[in-house]
Amino acid sequence: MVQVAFFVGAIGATGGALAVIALRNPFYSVLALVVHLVSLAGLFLLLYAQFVAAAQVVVYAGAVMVLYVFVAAYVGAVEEPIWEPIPGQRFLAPLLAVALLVELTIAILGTGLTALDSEGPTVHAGFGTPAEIGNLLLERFLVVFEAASMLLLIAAVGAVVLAGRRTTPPTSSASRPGSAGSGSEVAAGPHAPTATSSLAPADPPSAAEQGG
Amino acid sequence: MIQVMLWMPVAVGLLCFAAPRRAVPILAVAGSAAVLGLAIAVVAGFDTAEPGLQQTVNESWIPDLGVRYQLGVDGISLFLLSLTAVLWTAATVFSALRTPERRRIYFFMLGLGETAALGAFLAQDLLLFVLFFDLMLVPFWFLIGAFGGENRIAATTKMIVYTLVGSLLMLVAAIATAILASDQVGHLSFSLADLSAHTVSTSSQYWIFCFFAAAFLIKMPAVLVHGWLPDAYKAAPLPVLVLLSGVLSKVGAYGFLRVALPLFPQAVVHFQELILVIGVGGILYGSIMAFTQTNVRLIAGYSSIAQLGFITIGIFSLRPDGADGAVLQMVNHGLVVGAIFLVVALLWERTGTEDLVRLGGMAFRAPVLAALFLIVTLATLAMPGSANFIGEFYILIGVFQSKIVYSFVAAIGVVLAAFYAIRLFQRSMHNRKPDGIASSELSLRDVAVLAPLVACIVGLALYPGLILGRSDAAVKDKIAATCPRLPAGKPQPGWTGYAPIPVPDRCSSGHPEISVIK
Amino acid sequence: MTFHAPHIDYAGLSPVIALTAGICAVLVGGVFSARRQRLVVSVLSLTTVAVAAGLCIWQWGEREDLVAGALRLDELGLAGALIAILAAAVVIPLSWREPAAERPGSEPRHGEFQALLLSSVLGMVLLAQAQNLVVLFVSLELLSVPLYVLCGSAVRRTQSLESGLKYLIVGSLGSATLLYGLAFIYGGSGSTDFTTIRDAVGSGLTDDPLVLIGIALAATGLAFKISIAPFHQWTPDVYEGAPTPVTAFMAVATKAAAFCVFVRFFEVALGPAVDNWQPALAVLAAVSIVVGNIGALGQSSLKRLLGYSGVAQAGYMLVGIVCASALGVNALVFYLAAYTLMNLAAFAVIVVRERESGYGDGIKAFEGLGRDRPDLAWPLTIAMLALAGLPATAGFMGKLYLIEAAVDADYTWLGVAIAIGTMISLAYYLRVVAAVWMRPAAEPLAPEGAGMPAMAGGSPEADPLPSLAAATAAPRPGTRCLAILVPAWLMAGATIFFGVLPSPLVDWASHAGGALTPFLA
Repeated sequence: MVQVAFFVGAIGATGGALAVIALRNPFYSVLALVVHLVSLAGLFLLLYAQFVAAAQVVVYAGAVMVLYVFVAAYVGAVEEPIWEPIPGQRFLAPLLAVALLVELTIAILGTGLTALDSEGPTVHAGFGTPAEIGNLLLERFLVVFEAASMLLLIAAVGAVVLAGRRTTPPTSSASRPGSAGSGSEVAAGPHAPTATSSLAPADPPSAAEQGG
Repeated sequence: MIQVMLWMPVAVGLLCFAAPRRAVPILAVAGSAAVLGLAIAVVAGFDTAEPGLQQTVNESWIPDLGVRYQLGVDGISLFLLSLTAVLWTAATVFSALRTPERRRIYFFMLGLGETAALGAFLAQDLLLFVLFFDLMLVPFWFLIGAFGGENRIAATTKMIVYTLVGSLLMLVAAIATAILASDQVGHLSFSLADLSAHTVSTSSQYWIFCFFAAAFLIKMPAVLVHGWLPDAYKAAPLPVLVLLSGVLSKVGAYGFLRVALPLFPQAVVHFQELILVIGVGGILYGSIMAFTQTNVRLIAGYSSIAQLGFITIGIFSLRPDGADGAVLQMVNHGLVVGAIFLVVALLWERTGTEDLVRLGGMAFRAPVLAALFLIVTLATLAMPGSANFIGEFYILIGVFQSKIVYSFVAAIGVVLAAFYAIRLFQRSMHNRKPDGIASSELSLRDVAVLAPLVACIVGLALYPGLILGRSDAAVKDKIAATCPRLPAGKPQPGWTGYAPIPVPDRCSSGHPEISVIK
Repeated sequence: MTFHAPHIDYAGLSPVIALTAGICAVLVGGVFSARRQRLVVSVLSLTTVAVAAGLCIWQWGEREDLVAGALRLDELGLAGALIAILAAAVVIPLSWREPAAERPGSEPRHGEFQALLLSSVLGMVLLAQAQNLVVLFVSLELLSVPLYVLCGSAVRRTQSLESGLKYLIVGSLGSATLLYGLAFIYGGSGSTDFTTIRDAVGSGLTDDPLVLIGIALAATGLAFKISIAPFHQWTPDVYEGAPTPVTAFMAVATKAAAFCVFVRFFEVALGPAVDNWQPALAVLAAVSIVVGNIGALGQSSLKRLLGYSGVAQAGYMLVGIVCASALGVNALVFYLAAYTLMNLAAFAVIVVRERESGYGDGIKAFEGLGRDRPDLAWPLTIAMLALAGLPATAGFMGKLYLIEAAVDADYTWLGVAIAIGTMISLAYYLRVVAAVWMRPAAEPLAPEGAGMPAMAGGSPEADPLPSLAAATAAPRPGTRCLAILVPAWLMAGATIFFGVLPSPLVDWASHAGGALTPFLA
């Protein structure tokens, strides 16, 4: 039974991951990603990591994917070149990927296979439950827990810094950009508005322009 | 006392920033004169019989790294210190009379350079030596780059890159020496005394010596690694050039005596022939180039290469006579080349050119200048009776005892020196005076700069024993490290069968005196 | 299941607590408007860093595990923390007139700007003390995320946005690589604690392929953070694009903290596998020295130049880790401190010149500085000479220390590599000094550019004109930059002081190395 579940999960995860990069329609890719994430959640369950599995489904497959779907629908289909456009990387990238694959294969064949016949680590009852994780977070990983909360706070502040709209006096919004580009405005490329507003989603036309 | 002498120039240089603008040159001159006074006091208080260090300072500096603040004077560094003080005073006075723009930084850099040069001669800790050796570059880089002539930035950068290539490798080599020796010494120590008492294994000595030799040869510069010389000499302001050629080039040669010989005796013996070839090559190349150049600075510059070739082979004859001659010659050459560059500066002021083709006839209206220049020229070509003659003579004796072939080739250099030195004098002072060039006599202030230098040259010619008598003991001490067969103080007949002349007193006697120069 | 609250040594944790409290206070200080905000916020953040520094010094000499072994309180960690705090203390005044924080024509954002800066410092303090894989990763993120934002915070300049985005992508790649590696190491050793990993690796895992891959990936991830070649490509671009105070902070503080954790992770946790990672890191160091120095040769933007020079300097510092000896760690910490001093001095001058000359951070902006502005020229000169490793500066002592460590560890060829790298580096450091002292001043550009660096137009419909108004309102060159000059001179003075009398700093660094002595051969 466990084996069957494992292979279902494994095939789902690998297939989903492959489909994400193989499918040309971004919408399908997102859906494939959902398959991948749910399969991973299944694998987590097999590892007695109930909480992680649940979090995976709720946070990733649920919340994050909804955002992805929203963005994919909003931006629409983008024609991506099949081949890497940067000439040097076109050959280097597959080479490095193969190298990494070989490396990982060696590692797995060298170490991972020896664990195949074993029963895996013995875990005590209650391993992976939310209560256990909560305990860990407040005992061994208390510092991490606090640091992560700080990280979230700072990430929010950072988002505000980058995306916050300027409060502009209504009178000046009528005048033309920088009065015909005087000295200080020279470096303003035509891309500047696009880049700025892509971080400020309150500006739909230019965001769409960025996508297209 | 040597501590005060060492730090006074840079302290005075820093004071220059605080002093009012007009007082800056006076302050700088006073500072360098004070250093000169201290240097004379050190010479006066020197104990001739003592081969080791005198006036030592030994303080802990960076204990964790085994670096100590060790200073000391011995017979080798004694007169190089004096030379440094003399030339710096001359250069400072000369510059003060023609106050440069941005004088504060100029005199600060001069002071820093003097401290670094004195430090290199005083340091008795290998790392301290390397530090001062490198530190010397900074002020000279500035002085040439900020106050020099055409193409100065490229020239000065070329100089510093060349010299640092050598000296950074030397840093690695110095550290390697200390660490390799630390097993025997028992603790990490850069002290030259410790390191020469416990030399590292022969195979390590070879590469370490190569790094050191590279640094010293580039600094001198020796032929093959002299690429920075023409540009830097053309671009440097003349008072700076006096120091560059008079003092800095000696640090390289001094390094061989102070560091390479005692610390890497086997390697020195092993590479003796190679260095001799470089030295002799330098003599020939420098002499021939000096003969073909028309730029006065370059003539003096290439003649420096030749003279340093002499000094090198003197040291690497590995005989006390040769090394004694080398020490004497270092001082001689410093004085002579300093005087030449000052004369060049005066010529330039009068004529606006440094090209021999466009010079001439200066002696008509400037007999004093011509007379002083003649003395300098005759000293350059090692006229018998000058101290240069004695120096070269000793060097050749030393080389004759150890490697006779090289002494024959080197002797050609003595002849060539006569060619280029007389050509320099003749073309500038005699010949027909080209149009548009005014010949005018020295002002009293310039005499005040030039005359003491010439007086030093004459004085040394009269009494070279002043140097030889004091340096001999220390030199033998250093040479002895490389020749275990040759106990210090007892030179043995070379294979040629000539018994070497006993060193102390006879060096001054037996030569026609000042009459020749006059 | 029962809950056992871990023992918390509040004294040992006090710098972290002080910083956290300070960040919150600074954020709240952002409610003030206009000019008062800058004053209030700066006072708050400078107090915070002063208190944190004081607490670090108070705790100096303590050695214990904090909060269930998550953090290690020892001199190495505190040294990293002090360096990061010093960098922040210098960068806060540098940022006072920074357009990224001022955002002319609208609300100033000093509160957010300095809070982000401080939270990055918090991440660095945690990182330098981290003794657990999870703490390592989270504090690395806490360090990085504010920096991503700060790099892009000059939202009206394309280069800044590009820099932020580039740093975000490359930094995330580095983090991901690191995390992947950490996962392998955890998988192999079964623990996230450094000391437990050390025991596990020591008992027969040194040649385990999974652990080796983990080590390689972790080293790669950390190499991204400290910009070791060949993982350095982002460095010059990000340095150039980011607001200069941020670049200054990033260049020194990130390196300090990341090097502290690098050394702790490799010497403590992976110490038994030293034979495996030592040669690899040695090669990385050599490559970094060569690539960084050669890359810097052709640069005309001073920030790019310092970026490449940072790559080379990281290579030098990596030598300290390669040595795997107490001497190496001492040398590393010494060099980090020296590097901080000299780089901050250089960047402070760049900040001033960037605002008052029209040439931005191009080398032209510095021509003739020695004649016109000796008060700026000297710190820059000292910094450049020190970076080049000339004697009588802390840079020389640092190189001396590193070479000594390298030779002592039988890596003489790395010592030679440092020497050769230094030779190459002279060419570009001296080019800057030559521009300062030996060239006439460049023609000043159009007066509009005088007050500030050229700014991108931003979204014109949102905020037109204000940049012009602000530019004209900005003070004339040299009038009010005392807040920058004083730190610059302090840093330059300290560079010289520790070059002439290095003993205090050497002692300080050797305490840090001493903290790892039990783990070093």
